[in-house]
Amino acid sequence: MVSKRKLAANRRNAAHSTGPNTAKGKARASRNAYKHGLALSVLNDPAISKEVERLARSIVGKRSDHYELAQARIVAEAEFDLLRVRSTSVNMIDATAAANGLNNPALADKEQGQHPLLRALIQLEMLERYERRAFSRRRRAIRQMYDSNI
Amino acid sequence: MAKRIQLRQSASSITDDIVSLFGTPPVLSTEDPKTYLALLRKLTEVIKPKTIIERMWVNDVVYHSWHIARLRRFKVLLIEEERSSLADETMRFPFGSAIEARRKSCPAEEIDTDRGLAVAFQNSIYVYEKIDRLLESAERRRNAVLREIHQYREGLAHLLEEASNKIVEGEYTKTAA
Repeated sequence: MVSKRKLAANRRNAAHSTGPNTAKGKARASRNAYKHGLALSVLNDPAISKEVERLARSIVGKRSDHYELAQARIVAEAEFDLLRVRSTSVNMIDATAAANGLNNPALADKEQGQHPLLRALIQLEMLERYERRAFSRRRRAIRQMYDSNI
Repeated sequence: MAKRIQLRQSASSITDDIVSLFGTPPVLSTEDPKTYLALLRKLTEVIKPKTIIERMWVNDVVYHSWHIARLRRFKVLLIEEERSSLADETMRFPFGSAIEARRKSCPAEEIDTDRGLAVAFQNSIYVYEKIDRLLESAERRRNAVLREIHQYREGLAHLLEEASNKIVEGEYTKTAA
């Protein structure tokens, strides 16, 4: 059983650690778990969403079959996912190179004692699953589009 | 018969079209985007993809080939960098006591020999293995794209055969009736 004095102290201390109070702090904390955003659908971005629709329409052309258009949308979305993963992985290598001294030995991270290139490669490996997932989704949709044409 | 989507365009607009379809080339700041685009353009001219989906596959093959070449380059650079850092007083990895241990593993006069290379390889084996795994995975993905193209083209041939048979059978029936 916690004593009353300790309980009061706990409550007092808790009042000091209730997270960010300002709008700026809250906005920053809301992105704490954000790493690369690849788990989010590209359709969350209205600009890319329009591009996905445009690509899907180009894939089906003048045909107006709803099923085929639905599959084309999946193909287009997966294609944009693939392009996003590829661009993210390149940016990651570049950022790691700049931050960890791949090009500049003076900037090498001495605390972690890990080869800078290894760190970039580990990140690259982590991104692979997003690429695999998008590729499989696109392949399935292409096959279904293709089968529906027979 | 399968309905095919044609992407009509002139050969001169291929580069513009590639950029508008796939965005700027996914290259590192140390790589040349023009070389990447030239490779993509050349392959597009040779393969002559007829649909947007075929263009996506060509783009995939170019991307994976580029990525594989990049990883192979990393492997070579890794060993070379490691070997040169054996002699370097200001080397950055490993740090502290490991520097001495590593320096002892290869006398300075043997750095430019096979022994130097072997020590460099031994010191960077864990990074080397990681690159190898990534290489293997990139090659697997490129092969998956090639398989997909192959299946698609085989499927197209099969469809054409079926359609052709139907036409021939139709004509035969009509004649027989």
